[in-house]
Amino acid sequence: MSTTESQQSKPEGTSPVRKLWNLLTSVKLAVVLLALGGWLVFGGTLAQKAEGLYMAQERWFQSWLVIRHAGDGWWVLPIFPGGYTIGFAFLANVICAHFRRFERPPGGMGAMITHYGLVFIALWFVTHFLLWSPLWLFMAYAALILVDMVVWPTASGKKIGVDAVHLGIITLLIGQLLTDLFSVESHMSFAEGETRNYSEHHHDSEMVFIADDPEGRDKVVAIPQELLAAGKIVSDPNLPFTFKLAQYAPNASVIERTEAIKQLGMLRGAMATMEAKYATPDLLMAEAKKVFEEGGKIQIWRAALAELGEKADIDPLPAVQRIVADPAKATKLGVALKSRFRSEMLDAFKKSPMADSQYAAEIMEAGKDITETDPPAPGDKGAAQRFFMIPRPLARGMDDRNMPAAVVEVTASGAKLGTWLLSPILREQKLEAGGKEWRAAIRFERHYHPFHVTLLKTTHEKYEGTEIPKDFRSTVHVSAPNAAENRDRVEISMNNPLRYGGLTFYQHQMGREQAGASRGTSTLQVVKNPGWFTPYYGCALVGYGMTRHFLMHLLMFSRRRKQS
Amino acid sequence: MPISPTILRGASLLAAGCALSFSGCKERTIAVYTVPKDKLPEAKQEPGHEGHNHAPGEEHEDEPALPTVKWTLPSGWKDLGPEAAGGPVKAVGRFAIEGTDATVNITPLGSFSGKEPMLVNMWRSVFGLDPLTDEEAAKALADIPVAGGQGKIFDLTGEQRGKKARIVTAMFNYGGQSWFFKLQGAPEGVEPQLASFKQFLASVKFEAATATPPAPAAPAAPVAPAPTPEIPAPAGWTALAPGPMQIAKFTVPEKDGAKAEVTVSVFPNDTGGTLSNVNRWRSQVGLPATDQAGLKDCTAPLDGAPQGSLLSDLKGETKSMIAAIVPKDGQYFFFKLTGDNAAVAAAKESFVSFIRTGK
Repeated sequence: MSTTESQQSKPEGTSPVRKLWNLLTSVKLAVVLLALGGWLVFGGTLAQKAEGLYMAQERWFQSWLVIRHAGDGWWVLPIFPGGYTIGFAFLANVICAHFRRFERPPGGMGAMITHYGLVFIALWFVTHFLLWSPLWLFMAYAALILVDMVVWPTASGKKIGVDAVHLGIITLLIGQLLTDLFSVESHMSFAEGETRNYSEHHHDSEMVFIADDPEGRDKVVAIPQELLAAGKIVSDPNLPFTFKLAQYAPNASVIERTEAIKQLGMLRGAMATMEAKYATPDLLMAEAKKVFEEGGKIQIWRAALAELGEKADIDPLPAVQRIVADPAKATKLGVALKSRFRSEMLDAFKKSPMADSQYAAEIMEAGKDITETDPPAPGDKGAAQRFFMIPRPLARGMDDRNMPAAVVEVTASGAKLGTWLLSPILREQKLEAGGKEWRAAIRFERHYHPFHVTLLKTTHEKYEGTEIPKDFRSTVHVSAPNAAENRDRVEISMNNPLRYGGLTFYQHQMGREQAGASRGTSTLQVVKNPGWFTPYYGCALVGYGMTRHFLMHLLMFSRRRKQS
Repeated sequence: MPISPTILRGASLLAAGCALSFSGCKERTIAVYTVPKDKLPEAKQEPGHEGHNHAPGEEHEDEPALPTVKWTLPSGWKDLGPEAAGGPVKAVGRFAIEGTDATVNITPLGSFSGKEPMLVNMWRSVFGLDPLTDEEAAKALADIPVAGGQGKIFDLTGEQRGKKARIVTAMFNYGGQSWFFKLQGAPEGVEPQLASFKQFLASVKFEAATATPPAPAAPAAPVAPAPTPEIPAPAGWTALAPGPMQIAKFTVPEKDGAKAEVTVSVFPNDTGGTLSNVNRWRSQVGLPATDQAGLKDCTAPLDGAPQGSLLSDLKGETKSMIAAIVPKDGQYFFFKLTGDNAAVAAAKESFVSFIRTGK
């Protein structure tokens, strides 16, 4: 059915296709989408506090729908379009609106295509080659607009400005999609004098099985974390064995049994010592005198006294005296003090950076014990004999890192070879299969590069007497297989990244080993983003379009004024 | 401009194509590649070390390679050698100081760089001291020269197991690890050793780990026996290396394949009272917790043992435990017989006799 027939059979504006077309091309839809986008950015930004940067990005911006969960803030609606939905709808709206409002230019389609093509290509070249020279870039844009307005004032219609703005928005949207799909961020960490040919992902991990190949290199079979899940059986033609993930946690504490037992014993001993101090009224009074006369733990005493309805703001000793005179109240005070000190000690252990201490506090709080057999050993090979894993909630902080762990049951030719515990905090572990020695590990996903980077020198200066960075700088040498592509003594600093091999190396962190040679250490952020140029080009198009449109109308207004 | 159905169809197809290709882009697969061997220390492997503690310099496949540590001992200090295999602490150096009960040890742990205030608060909590804010804790840490670099030191005095104690801890980051140098003992024993301790810290030298196991860091010295009472194994029992916080450990004879073991621990007090101990034991054999009133049903005085001794006989579905708390010489001895029901029942008599007689 042709369009003419369709229009004859149904009045204009009533056919569903026409309604959809009207909706897709409407300015109202653009306004609604912009409003939704604004709310999405607001909600997603607020959510970063509770969910962490990466989780919030994934949930709000890299999703089709945002669905309310328990514990969400008031600003989270039951269901809301995610970043992809709004982005794709906006993309469709802009493209369709462009088609709908397209007008045949006075000079014909050929003139228009030539004009648009030349201007947009020129804009691309100017932006690409003068991007890092703002003054030259500005002058080149001005010259381009001037030439454009003199040579093609209106031959291709009056809409080149508006069209450039639309094209710029389309470029920005597609560029964001490209970045989301294909960009990879990783880190390259080394000390002065060290060389790396790989960078590691900050969050994503992989399970690897490594064997020597006949040429003395490492053959690596890497399974990305997306393919790992508890209960899953994994096989690959490159591996002479299959394995089952008896346990897998994207974030887990890996705990050494003897350390955890020791920490629990220490905590239990400290707790018992503390509880003995508040066991009898006499001891309570003696301890109160010591605390209020010599200082220490006063806040806890005041809180415990307040719990018993005693005001202890000025001189708490008479209040304690009154309480210990009454055995029932003395018992209550003892219980209150023990409970508060117990919570405080448990909190101190839970906040410890050591997983063993944290786990000991949790076990103590639960009234359980850690023994040689409880929790049971997760496996019978390698680290599994000494360590066990405790799954943890996903880390959400900007600087927090999830530490995955897995218990892997390996089988070859129907025979069980054993069970291993793998985690990035453990070293590679050996297993024999298919007449070969393999090394198994979980590590942060590695991206190997066809060149080596050597850290020659680090410069780490702060403003005198402060911790404010003055100059963070890494001097590196890049060795490529083809010596002509080598780069010697390249300096990478905060606003001066190295662009090499399709990657951008930014200065990320610096440090210094404290001993011996006292070597400086550096971490470079390595970004691979095939769409890196699209935001620049998109902004150039929008800027060009707005300026061109404004100047054209100014010129027309000026002419009309002169004529009148 | 009239709408062309071709444009509409084209746009729809384009949108669908974009969405489909987009959903396919995120799919991940197993990758296989070949790379030059990693020359970093973490890739180095030494065959034949699995599942045991090891001396410094040896490598273990699940631990980072440790650098070699060297030092110069101040006069009056005696080198006790690294922690014995099977010991709970991975100290690479331990020293006794003549004429005092003060000791010094060197222990590498994971990297705690930047987390020093948390460690200060953890140790304060062990001494029952108020936690400090991060700023206060940072102020409690002083700079100190260690191994040619700069470390941090903090000093705590408090009570531990009913006795006054002082711990001076220096922390130093090297080779991706935090190294702890701890001088501890009675305050009067620690005070005169502070200058020697600082001199000792400055004398420490680290040498990076090498591919082949280097010689032990310190001259090999006999490992000092733990200062715990010697408890001989009763007839038929087999003595095992005691675990952390234990002074003795035995296995009892098997009964039709059923196994059980005995442990003896000592604490300065009853570690939280009878009820909390009994409830912890009950949970270990799968029994529900009881209350103060129910305590009398599962504990009984232990005749023939020091006054105040209690015996608790707990039988779960498959596991049993007979445990005793024996106050003696100002300390509390905890005896536990744990294992399969049949083995525990068979060994009960000899276990009770063992508690009463101490042998």
